[in-house]
Amino acid sequence: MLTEADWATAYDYLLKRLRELELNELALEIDAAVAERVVERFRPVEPNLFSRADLSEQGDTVSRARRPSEAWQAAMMVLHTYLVEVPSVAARVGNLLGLDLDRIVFYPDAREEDLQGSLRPFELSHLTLSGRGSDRVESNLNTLLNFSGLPSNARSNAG
Amino acid sequence: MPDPTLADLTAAVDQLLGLAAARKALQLNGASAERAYEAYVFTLCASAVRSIPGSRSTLRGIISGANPNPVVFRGGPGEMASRIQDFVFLRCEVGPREFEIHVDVEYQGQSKATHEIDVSVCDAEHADRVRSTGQSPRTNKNLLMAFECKLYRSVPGVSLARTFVGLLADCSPNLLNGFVCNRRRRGLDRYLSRTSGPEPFTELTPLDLASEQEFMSAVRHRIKKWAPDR
Repeated sequence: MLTEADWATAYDYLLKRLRELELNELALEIDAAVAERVVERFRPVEPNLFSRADLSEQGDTVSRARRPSEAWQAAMMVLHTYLVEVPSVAARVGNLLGLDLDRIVFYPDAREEDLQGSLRPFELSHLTLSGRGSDRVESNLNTLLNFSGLPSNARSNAG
Repeated sequence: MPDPTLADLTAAVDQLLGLAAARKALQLNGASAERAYEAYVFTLCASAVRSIPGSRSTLRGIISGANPNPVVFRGGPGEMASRIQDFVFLRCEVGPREFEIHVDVEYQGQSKATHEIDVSVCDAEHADRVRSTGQSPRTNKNLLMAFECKLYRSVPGVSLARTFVGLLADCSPNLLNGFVCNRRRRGLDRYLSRTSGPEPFTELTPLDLASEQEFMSAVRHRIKKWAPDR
């Protein structure tokens, strides 16, 4: 059984590997996702200490920082989005329009000389995974999701 | 499955990140993913219109006209009348009504503030005038539907929905306003249910075909009600 300390180590390892692979933007995005606090229903430590009327005046939710195991799950949700959801969205756009993905492009509403930063044109085909690559990625990701106790669609209401 | 060990986890991370396809997909920036999600919602709206018996719709490029090749979506907010690229929109005809579906167009609100609307449905005559004058479209009676689209990578918060509720306060009433996203969270659903603002379409992704049907059905229903058979 993994302890919270183990999950913290695994989380640090994941971010370290992403940075080694120069996936810094993703590492930052995961860190930002993990920094979002968990909101949960308030449960009084001693339920009989206060009357229902006393409690009804206050909000019935509280928030707290994520535990390492929850931070890991949040990281898995980010990976799932990029590795499964985004490719499926791209493929579906092509499918619904009845067009090959390399015929669908995104351009900013800006003149060539003003293109900078994230304002870069891209083809929808860049967002998909090829058939065999897609299967291998999904299979490896599912292994990680299973280890994390997340369903393979990873779209849980965590938090 | 037996409980994993720390070594199992790190090995699985290495295996996943060892795949070139995974590394390529993870290099994508969030903005590109967001744009693709907006295009996805646009195509669902288009499919909803096309499913109405007797409807007609054509993809048009602002420069090239019908059936553009390639199809160019805005890669960020911009002007409806912009001819910097051959930006695409869908021209539609249902019964006596003509309208258009656009992605990432800036509208002028009732307050005269500028608002970016991720996916919008606009009266066709208004859009024609906007293109001929080069002015901005307005969020008055000519804006028929507005959708805020968000591809959440983590747990959704309420801040974007709150902003969209504020935007809708600067519009005249529409046929349908929707907050469309790929994840559900009770707090977000509760917030949207307490406002008179957008209808929530959460967990809308190609991985959940029922969610697509529900969204398209809402769009189709509102259009049919507004555009009865001749």
